[in-house]
Amino acid sequence: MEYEKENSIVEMMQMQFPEAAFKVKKERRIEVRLPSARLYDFAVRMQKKWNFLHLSAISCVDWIDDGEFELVYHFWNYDEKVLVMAKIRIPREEEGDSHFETISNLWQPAKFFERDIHEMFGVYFDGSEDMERFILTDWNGPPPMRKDFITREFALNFYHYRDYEPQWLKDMMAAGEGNE
Amino acid sequence: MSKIDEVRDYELFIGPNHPGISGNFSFKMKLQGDKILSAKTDAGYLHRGFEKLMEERLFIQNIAIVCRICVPDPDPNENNYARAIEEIAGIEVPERAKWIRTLVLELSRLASYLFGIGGHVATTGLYAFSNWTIADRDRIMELFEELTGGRVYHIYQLPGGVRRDFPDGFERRVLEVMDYIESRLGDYDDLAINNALFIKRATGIGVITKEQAIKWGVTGPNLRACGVAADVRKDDPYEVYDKVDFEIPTRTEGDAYARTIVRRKEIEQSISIVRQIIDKIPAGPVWNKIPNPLKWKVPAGDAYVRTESSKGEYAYYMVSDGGRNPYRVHVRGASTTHGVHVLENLLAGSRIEDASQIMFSLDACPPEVDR
Amino acid sequence: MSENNKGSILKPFRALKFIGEKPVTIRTPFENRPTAPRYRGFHVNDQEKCIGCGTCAEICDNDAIRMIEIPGLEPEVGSSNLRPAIDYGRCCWCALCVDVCTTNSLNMTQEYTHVSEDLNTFFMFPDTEGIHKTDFPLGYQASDDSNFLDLERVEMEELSPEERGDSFIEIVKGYSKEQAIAEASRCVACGLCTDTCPAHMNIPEYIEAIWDDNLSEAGRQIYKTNPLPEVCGRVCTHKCETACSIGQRGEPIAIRWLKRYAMDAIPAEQYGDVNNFRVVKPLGKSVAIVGSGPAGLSAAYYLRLMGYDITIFEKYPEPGGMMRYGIPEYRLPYDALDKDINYIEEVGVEIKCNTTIGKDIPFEDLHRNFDSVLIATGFHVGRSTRVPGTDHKDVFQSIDLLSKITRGEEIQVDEKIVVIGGGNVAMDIARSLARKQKVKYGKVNIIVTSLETRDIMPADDEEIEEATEEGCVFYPGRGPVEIVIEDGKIKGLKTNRCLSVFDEQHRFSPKFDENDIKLLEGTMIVESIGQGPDMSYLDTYTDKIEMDGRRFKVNEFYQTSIEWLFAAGDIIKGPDVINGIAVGHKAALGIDKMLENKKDLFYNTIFDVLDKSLKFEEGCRKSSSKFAGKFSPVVNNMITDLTVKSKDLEERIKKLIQNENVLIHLDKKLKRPQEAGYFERCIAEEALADTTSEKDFLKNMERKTRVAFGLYHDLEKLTKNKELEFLFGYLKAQKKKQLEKVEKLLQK
Repeated sequence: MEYEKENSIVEMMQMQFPEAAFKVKKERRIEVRLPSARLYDFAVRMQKKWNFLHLSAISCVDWIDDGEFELVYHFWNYDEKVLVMAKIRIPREEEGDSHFETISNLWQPAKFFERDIHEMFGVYFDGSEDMERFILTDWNGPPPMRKDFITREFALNFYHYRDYEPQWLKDMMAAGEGNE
Repeated sequence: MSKIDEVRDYELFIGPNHPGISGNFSFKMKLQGDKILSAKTDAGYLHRGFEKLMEERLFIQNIAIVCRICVPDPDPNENNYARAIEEIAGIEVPERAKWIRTLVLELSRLASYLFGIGGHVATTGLYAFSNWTIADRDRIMELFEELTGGRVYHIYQLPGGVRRDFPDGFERRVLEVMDYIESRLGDYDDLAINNALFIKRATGIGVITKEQAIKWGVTGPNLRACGVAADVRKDDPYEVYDKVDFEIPTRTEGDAYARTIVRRKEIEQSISIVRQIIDKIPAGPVWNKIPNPLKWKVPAGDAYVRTESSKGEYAYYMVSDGGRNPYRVHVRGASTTHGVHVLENLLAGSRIEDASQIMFSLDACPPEVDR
Repeated sequence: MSENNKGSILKPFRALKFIGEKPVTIRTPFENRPTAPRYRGFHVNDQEKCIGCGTCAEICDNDAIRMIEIPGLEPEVGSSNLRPAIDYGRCCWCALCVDVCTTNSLNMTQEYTHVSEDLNTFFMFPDTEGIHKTDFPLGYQASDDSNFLDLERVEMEELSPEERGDSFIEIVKGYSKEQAIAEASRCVACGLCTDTCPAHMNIPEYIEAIWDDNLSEAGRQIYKTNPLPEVCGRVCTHKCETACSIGQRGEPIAIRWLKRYAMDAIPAEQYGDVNNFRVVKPLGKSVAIVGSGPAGLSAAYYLRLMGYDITIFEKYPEPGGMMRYGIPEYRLPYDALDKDINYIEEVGVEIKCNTTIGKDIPFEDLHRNFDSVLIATGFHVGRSTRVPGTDHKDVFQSIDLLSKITRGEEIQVDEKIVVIGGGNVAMDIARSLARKQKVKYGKVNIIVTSLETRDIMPADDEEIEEATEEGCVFYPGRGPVEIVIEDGKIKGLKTNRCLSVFDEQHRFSPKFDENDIKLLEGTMIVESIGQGPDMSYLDTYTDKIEMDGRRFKVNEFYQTSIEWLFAAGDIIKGPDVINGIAVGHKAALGIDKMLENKKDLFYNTIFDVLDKSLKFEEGCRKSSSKFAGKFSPVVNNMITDLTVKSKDLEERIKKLIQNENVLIHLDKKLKRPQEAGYFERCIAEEALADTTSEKDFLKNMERKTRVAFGLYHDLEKLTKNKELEFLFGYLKAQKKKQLEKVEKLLQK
């Protein structure tokens, strides 16, 4: 049978979390959609019971049309060699930070990812020790990775444009009547 | 803190341009004499905003900027980007292209290891060694120039395969360079790796135990130096790594010396992989044509792809919403754990003269942290 | 290796082995480092091959390539007067531009050094010799290993000769959706086709809409310059495909079939929705049009949209002109033609058929009852070779026969027919008669002869091939001498070999070889060597109009020497449907200019347009804020929200216009001149009439927002500049959101 190992892991997890939606995407990749309130329990169980000891990354996706942020937690198991992507959705605030709970007391790598998501997207992780700016010091604007921050516009207003007048262009324009 | 402590403890700001740091990075350290009490890392000097840039460009245009995220080892970036799109869109890659990609990845790994060990040994003062490794790395750069057209930034792997096939006589030259590097390994050992001074300096520095390593999210050669035999090439195989034979060297001490030894041993493994590839590579096309890239929509979906770069586990999370541009690309550099929290943990309690050695032995690369 | 801490005193002496070794370093300037053959260095661009398509500028991910107009370089079919110039401050040497170049003219050399204190020299113009005019070998070149463009066309299915030989069913089957999207995705949106099309249709835009599966947008883009797309999608001479940049190395995009796919897929009831961005405001002036061919119908459509009352007078029983009575049904089925003409009537154009000007209504009446008159009567009188014997009863004109076939009348079909002529009309009549022969006799015996040899025959290659497949036999390069008549019946056509058709000055002056005689057997001769006009209806005005040789003298707006009389179509400029449509459109603009006393008909720079859109936004905001607080809370909220958003949009436009910094590097000229009439009328719509009914207000709001959306949508495509494109795209997206809100409120 295909994906035997992945399917047995899914069965085991589904028993504890009946409200979650599991899907085996391909070998070594399992996707879970959870209600956001259940994530902390899921993370605890991942680490303590099911041996998913490695938190590879926490990603955030800004679904502006739905008005939600999607947080994706990637867990890796060194023994079973399977990756589980746990996805949750939290509501997106237009002004100010959205809030969610931290898992940095369980996993130390989460500290950096949560700090990064806070300054880039504006999601505050309650209970985290350090939510200060890391990469963008001296930045006073809105969280830049959000979809309503438009880089083009920022560049137009902030940077100074410079035009070129090379000799070949001057010669060309003098030779004929042209404009560019 | 007592008044005596206020006088004894002082703050030091190191960076961002410093020969003892591998990149543009800064530390705020609290010291007492020569002992570091605590260190706080501060990144952001190399933030170029790649993730946002990638959202505003077509899928094909991104291959030109993706390689610039990591400077010493740019090929895992290109590989991840191409494989993420292939996974989402269901594009098949021809066999020959997979072998060529593996070759490019291994050559890049070799170059990065030479750079890395050279850097580490140089922090102990043995600069001749780093001059040697940089010079030998140059031969691999020439191979890249011949194959891809650029020395450092290759822009060679695209979704569907690679851009060009081998030039004439390329296999012979690759084998020559491999022979040359292999012949130099003895010299490296004599000069630095077996050098009593280096061994004395590097043992016991920045010790990570096995439990700490897994708890702190350490990956790559650093993890293998702690005794865990984990390698993305074996655990989550991609390209043709399941078709070549190689071993995973491990050590148990978990200190700076062990990490360098692991890298030194992996050089031999990489050379062996390159030789196997040149031997076994099949003939065939090198690119499965994607549709006209100016009008190409990738169907909606997401993918998480991982590679073993020379620094650790390198991963991309890509989300596509069915449009012409990627909707979100999250770059998880290998140094996001090494360069920030692991470094802070190790620096606390060590001495100031070992600080740069710890950073170099972890092979923390600030561009990956900043993106 | 070992943990050997024990060293030996002699170990350092091992370093002596390095004495003889060759270093890796290169001792410049004594040695030169050779670059690899595939190095990505500075660019060279073969100026002869380069066609200025701009695809390299499209794909460059740093906006490093700018297309510059070269003074003195004339645009031709398939080649523009732009050439790329590269900003090496932005270029990253990724070579994507080389891999996507449509002609393989852009390549890279092995040169990589440029040192200068003057920043201006870093903006370079790659020409055939290279940046510094030194002799560096080529480095990275385009190769088939990774060629980005799709060079092969999606095949169009057609009926085989056996299936189609005896009926007038349409030959071409049409694209399915997957085929159309696959074909549309080959386009690189270079715009060379638009420059070549006589009507300057927005081809890249509608191809992109087809690719996006947004057919109503495709229809809207097509209708901006062509009100007869079902017709053109089947019979257009597609000069655009000759110019297509993909055609340089591969097969051109099937533009005509894509147009046909898009229009076939939109049902006739939805045409109104497709085009309702165009708002019609009655002006109270009227125009009479004589002739309902392509030129007449096109002028009628565009004048109607500008607000005029139009009446078309048509001599024949049904409208369409040569499209209906000249082109046979197997190329252009009548229901496709009717679909287009019905929509033109739906917009408000009145067509009076079976009405002959000069007989039923005197020409003078038109001048009295209408503000302006346009004549577009076309060429419906066939020309004759006038060789001895052409007055026999079995010698016909092709145009008469075609017209009879259309009307369903019986025509004479003999067993052996000879057709004289080498143009498309000759192919039409030959293939129609072949079908008739197949039905009547079970076999085909048609001979086609023309002065021109096969390589210079004016008919389309496809027509000649298909005619040959259907059984017509060609005798090209022969000229008629005499029709041989025996016992009162035609025996055949005596022909001489034609040595040349044109003389050195390219005037029509055929030369024959008297000794090379051939008799082409047939009992019926059909002449198809050309057509002429019938201008007898002009009556007393015939002397008052100035002539230019044999044609009327007209200015650039097709206005004759009589102020209120305009002329369009074949009588001024032919020879095909799309030219008629283009000329009709221009004549419509000319009539508008004369009747409304306009100064400028076109906008040429981006500032003209930005000014207008700023005024438009200000007007929208002021007029809708008048209604604040007058309606239910939901609608009031929407009004306040819209007012705030409008202010924000105005700020953005103002910032762009007033930012000195930004204006430096904008491309100030528009891609192509934009008709001012449409813009002006959109802006005039901004004032909302006073009303107390919430429903009316919402309906007006919807119409206005739709107009604004259409305005910004068009503006987005007009500029080459990415910043402006972004600005208009942003404005368009805002208007779209407003439109959705208003529509939702209306539905409640």
